[in-house]
Amino acid sequence: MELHHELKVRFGFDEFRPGQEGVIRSILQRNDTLAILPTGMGKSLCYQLPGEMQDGLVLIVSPLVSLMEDQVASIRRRGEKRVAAVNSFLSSEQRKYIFDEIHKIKFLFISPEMISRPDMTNFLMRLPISILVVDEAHCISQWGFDFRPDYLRLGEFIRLAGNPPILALTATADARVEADIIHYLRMSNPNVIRQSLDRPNLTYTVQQLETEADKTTWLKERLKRTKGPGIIYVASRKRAEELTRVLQQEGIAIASYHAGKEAGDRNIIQQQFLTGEISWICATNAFGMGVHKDDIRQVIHDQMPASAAAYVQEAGRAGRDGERSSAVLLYVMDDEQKVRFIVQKDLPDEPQVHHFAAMRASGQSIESSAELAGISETGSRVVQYYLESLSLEDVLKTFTKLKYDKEEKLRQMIAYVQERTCLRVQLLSYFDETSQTKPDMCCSVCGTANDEWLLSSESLGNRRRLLQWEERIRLLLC
Amino acid sequence: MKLSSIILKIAEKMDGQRSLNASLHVLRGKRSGQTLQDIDYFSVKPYFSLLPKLADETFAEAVSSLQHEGLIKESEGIVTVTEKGKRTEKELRVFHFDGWNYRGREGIFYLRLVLLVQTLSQLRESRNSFHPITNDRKIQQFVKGLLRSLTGSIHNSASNLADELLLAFEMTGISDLQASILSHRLTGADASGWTWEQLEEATSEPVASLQLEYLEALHRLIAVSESEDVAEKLPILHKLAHGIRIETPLTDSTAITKRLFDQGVSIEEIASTRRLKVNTIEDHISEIAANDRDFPILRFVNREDQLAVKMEVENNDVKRLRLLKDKFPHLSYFQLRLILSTMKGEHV
Ligand SMILES: [Zn+2]
Repeated sequence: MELHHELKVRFGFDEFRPGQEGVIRSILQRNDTLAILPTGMGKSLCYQLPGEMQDGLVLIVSPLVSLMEDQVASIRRRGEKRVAAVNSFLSSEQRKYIFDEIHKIKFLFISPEMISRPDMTNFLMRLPISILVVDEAHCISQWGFDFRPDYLRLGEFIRLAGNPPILALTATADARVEADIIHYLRMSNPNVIRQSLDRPNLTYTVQQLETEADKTTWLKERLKRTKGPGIIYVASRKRAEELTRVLQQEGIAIASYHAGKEAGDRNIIQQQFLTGEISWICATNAFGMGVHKDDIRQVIHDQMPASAAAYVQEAGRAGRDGERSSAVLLYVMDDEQKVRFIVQKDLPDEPQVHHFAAMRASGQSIESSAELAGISETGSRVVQYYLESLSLEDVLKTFTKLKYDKEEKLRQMIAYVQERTCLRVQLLSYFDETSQTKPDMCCSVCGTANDEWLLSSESLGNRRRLLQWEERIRLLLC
Repeated sequence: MKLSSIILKIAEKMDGQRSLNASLHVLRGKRSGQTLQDIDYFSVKPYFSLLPKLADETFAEAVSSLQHEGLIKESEGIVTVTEKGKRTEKELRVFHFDGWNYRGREGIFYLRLVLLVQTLSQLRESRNSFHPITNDRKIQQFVKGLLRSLTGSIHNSASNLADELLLAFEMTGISDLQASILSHRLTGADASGWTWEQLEEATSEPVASLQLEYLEALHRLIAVSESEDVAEKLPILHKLAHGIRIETPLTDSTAITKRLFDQGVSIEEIASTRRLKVNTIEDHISEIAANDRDFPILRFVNREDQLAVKMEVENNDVKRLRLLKDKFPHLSYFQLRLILSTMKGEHV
């Protein structure tokens, strides 16, 4: 079996990207495989190619509907039409259609909450599954930055489905997350294939400032002087709106993006960013997954994220085309307090857990119990999951542990901004990696974060003009 | 266009008879017997369910601006329109909403249109791979089906759609501003749509006002497109408008109640079979009454009572339920509501 030949014939590529070949060979030998590949390194090829080469259904568990739809669309675009997605947004009619036509489907995407529904489990476990793919597998770990309790139920499904070969995919996993993935997915003697997270074309900068207002001033100057496309990550919707307004007044072509915006506007903004009609997006962490823009030159964080893993993921959206790009983190002294508050607010404390358990015991719904106990929606899902499988005492212990862990994660970010160690070396060390080579433009600590190459005033100026309506319609269609 | 102007129009219709909340319920499209009867009785159906997500604060803000300008007054929970208010209302232009028949479904029409324009615009540039402006599967399937039904080249279809839009915009009688909003919310190959904020900046009209203009324009565009007379002149738009208008004005739950009611089942029995409160079933019955000219009101009220209430309403112009209840203490609110609902039919 000539893999390169298959790659060329089926996908038209001459070469594998780093890491892909090892993963594909491992899967073809029906080994459980954990692949830790940086974002933008073509994770989906790792199941698409072996899926095409083997009989049977490739079942892909994916955490976000938007992500799922994106992947379905991209598989369709390359001409593979035997693909479908099942999530809670489908009508029962559409779902039935997929069930009836399942023998025609090669790649089936499914959300974790759907897969653990009894009717779905019953249906799926009878199918010939060639590969069970768990995308964004770090979501299974409570140590990951994006824990989704629904993922924990996958283990049961895997057992019922007769232990098909598993391919767990993620961009970031430290040793503990890695151990969790292997444990909860019941992987046996897995091959762990880890591609370095190092991104030599990224230059890291930590910019310490005196006050919050200085951040705004700094961003104003930065965006006027340097080029995009770029993303500014902020901590709240309010900040996104305010900052965007200030920057627009400076003449910068920028728009804000967060979950509170109308869906129509969100799509339009993404489109404008992709076409280059706007140079910058000022966003909460709602922006990014499923956005394919390779030429992002800058990612600036107005506020530190809650963990190094999140930072690597978000900053890593810059420079996917391999060209030089810049990742800047702004920092003022009391930032960690704010982030600590945001991070801990989803974790209920002891009285809240007691209250929640008591409400549930008295027959209240999850939603109203959470509301009465003052627990956030995310928090309530986590508590509910643990209460189902652990004693109240153990749940409390788990939460104490989680709190402690989140604090530890935050400390990584605090160390990142405060310590005088090479930023690249620090980021890699959180994932138990050592830096292989030091690029010429490494980081602000090394003193080599030279931005002169970024200088340009092209982000300025409104390239958009309101047209007469007749003219606009003709522009679109004639 | 201001929200306060719409509220003033509704208040003028319900002058001295209803509370502010009644207007809010109309705008949000509340499906209670009371509201369903109100919209019919006061002829404010066009505003029904116009803004299903209208926030309390937004409504309160608009109301307080009306009060501040001395256009409406509120006492003992009842809203009256002042003389100045009446003059102002007369000077307002006529609005062409059709909330009752579209109830928020205009958004589906618009998404279909946007995706179709985007697809044709991309295809005519020979770009077969692009990010669809909506991920909604139903919309995508609809547009795919529509594209398959188009004959001729992509270039032809695109320019046909352009011609249809140009013609339809003229036929609707919408303003230049409205045509401009509709056309700039569309997305093409190299010209993305405009966000509301961008439109606000370009037109100096606040977002809220633009969204109301857009809503009205969309209602008018659908009305033109769905008409059978234009099926030949506007074939693509006609297809896009398919299934947007609400076919059965009754809510799903009411429709179930109606089936049982038509079989002669009593309200109490319906309530116990359906495990719903009697109140709820009464709301359903009021909704049925408001939509059915031949409603068998005699099952609930005898002729004498009907006549007496009708006289009172017509002679003394009293439509407030509480006042009527004072006059006719032996009748229930439910009975009074039914009488009011069926009265409207007789006048037509
Ligand atoms: Zn360095």
